[in-house]
Amino acid sequence: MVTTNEKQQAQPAAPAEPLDDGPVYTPLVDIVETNDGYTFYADLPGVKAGDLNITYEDETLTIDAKVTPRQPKGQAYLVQEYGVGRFARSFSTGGPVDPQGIRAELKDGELCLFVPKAESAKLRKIEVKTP
Amino acid sequence: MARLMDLFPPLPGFGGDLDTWVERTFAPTAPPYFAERGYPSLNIFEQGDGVIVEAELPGAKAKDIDVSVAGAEVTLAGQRKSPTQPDTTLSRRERPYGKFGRTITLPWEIDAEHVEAAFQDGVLTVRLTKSEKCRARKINVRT
Repeated sequence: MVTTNEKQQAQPAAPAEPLDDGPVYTPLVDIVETNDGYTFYADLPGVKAGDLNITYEDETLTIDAKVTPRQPKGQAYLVQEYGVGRFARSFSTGGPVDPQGIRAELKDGELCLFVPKAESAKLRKIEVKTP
Repeated sequence: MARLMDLFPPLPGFGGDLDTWVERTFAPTAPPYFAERGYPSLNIFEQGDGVIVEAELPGAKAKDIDVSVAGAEVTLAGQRKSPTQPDTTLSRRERPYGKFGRTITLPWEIDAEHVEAAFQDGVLTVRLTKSEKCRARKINVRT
């Protein structure tokens, strides 16, 4: 998270401001691993494709999605079991992946993300020759 | 086999084996309404003469969701199908699947003729209006 801290001569420093306000939620994710790669299924209700940010850097995959609040701030609820806010989650892949081959599809609030493994990370069957 | 590590732990209350779902009922008695957690999670709030029941059902299909109203009860039921084959091994399983059912008893009778339900981006919004006799009426005070 980037913070800015403005210091002025002979004045107390302004408090660091967060980049955005509001809660951040961890989306639920299912992961399937095959020899070809990883498939992530993430629950991102209320997220539109334009608000979704997927990045891969230093063997870390990050899913970041903004959610526009559906109700005005200060809405009174009769029952409130969940909050609406930004989703963020990072995953560390155990080995190198092929970032060019990453495919993402978002439908009805469900993200399907395929991250192919780099060739070097795939399991190679060694053929055993008998004399 | 490569290991996957996530840097943010899942929310408390989730995780573990979520293969079976039990139909749960909750009836709010007095504000703040007590809600026994079931699936899906709900947000309920008043809007004008009506009530909105909002639920997050990502990955569900509109045709697999049933919304029904009877008296003061609203029932959300349906199925959430897994996108993977049943025999697929998952490295991590956090999301709930299967049949779900949840009935809410509101403090007012619902006008069953005027209920709207919309499903977009995984969010189900059910708009309900209080039945005619349950709406507030202004009483003139005679002097």
